[in-house]
Amino acid sequence: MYAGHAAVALALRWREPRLPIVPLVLACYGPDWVEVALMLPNPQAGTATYTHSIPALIIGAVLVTALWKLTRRPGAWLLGVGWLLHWPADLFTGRKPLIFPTPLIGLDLYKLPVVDFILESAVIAIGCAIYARGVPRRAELRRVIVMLGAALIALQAAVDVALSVMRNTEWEPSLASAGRQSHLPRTREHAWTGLRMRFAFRPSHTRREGEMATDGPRGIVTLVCLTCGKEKFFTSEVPAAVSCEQCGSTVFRTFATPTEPDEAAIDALEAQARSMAYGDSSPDTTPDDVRDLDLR
Amino acid sequence: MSLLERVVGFVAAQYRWGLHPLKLIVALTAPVLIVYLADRRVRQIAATVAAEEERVRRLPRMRRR
Repeated sequence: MYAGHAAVALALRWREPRLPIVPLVLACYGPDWVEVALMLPNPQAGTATYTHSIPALIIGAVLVTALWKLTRRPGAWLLGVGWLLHWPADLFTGRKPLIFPTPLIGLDLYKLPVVDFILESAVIAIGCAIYARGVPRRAELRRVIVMLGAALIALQAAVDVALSVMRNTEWEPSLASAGRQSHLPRTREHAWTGLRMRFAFRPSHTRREGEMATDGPRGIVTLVCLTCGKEKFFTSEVPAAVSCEQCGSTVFRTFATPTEPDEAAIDALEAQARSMAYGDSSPDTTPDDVRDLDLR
Repeated sequence: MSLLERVVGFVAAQYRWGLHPLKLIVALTAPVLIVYLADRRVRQIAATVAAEEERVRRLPRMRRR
């Protein structure tokens, strides 16, 4: 979460108006500041374990509370709470470590910038509304608070626009810990299988299964060009626009061939099967059909 | 190119070129600055309002009318 942390600070400020806002906002962004400090000599990856994991957050919260208590000013506990609330806020937008570098937990909404913008805007609106409860009901004060919320939302919008431009990886939310088994049956794949797989355990093949999940049984899709008869095969997903390399036609006849046993597909194939042996009678040909053919 | 497009392009370029710590510092300072300025303004207005109410309260009843 980005601007949402500032909204959390505004909401906490309502509890203790004597607490200066700057330390409170800095505490709400505390783990991010520590992460930046660890990156300062040289940018490096993997510092989130020391800044955003739960033990690191608890240590940071205790330290900042103790330091503020030394100044004998009110509201030290709010700084600690603000530091701790960084983790649940980031749970929505990113993927953060629990204790060790893996697994990473979070809804990863930074990969869905529109959803992230809506969520953070809502958090900012709520934070500003709670902050407004702590000030006198005057129109000019309300105007300043509305401008504050608008500025934070604009800041968030700039970040989300940038995120949508730089997005180069897929949305990969993760809520379950490694090794957890989904309670849902796995005998048949459904349309929502991809969604379920995103929230289930994450072995090495999980992502591939999510990508392969379709409405029906898995298999090979064959497109036969109606103009020239050229065949095209697809094992995962048929693109929205396909054209024939041979003749340029865009009209195809589609055949799905399951590659895994599926009762419905087996039944359908058996019902449609026709004997190819010489001399066999066609199973669906009635005596009347034969008589009609003989008359021609 | 409009101003908005320039701003969006600039922000997007910053991300495309990588997240340097200095950029992160700027990104983290911006909300702190916004909240600080707004809170300072709120306090100023609230103090003015309180002073005005106190002044009115101390006026003799006849003059208040």
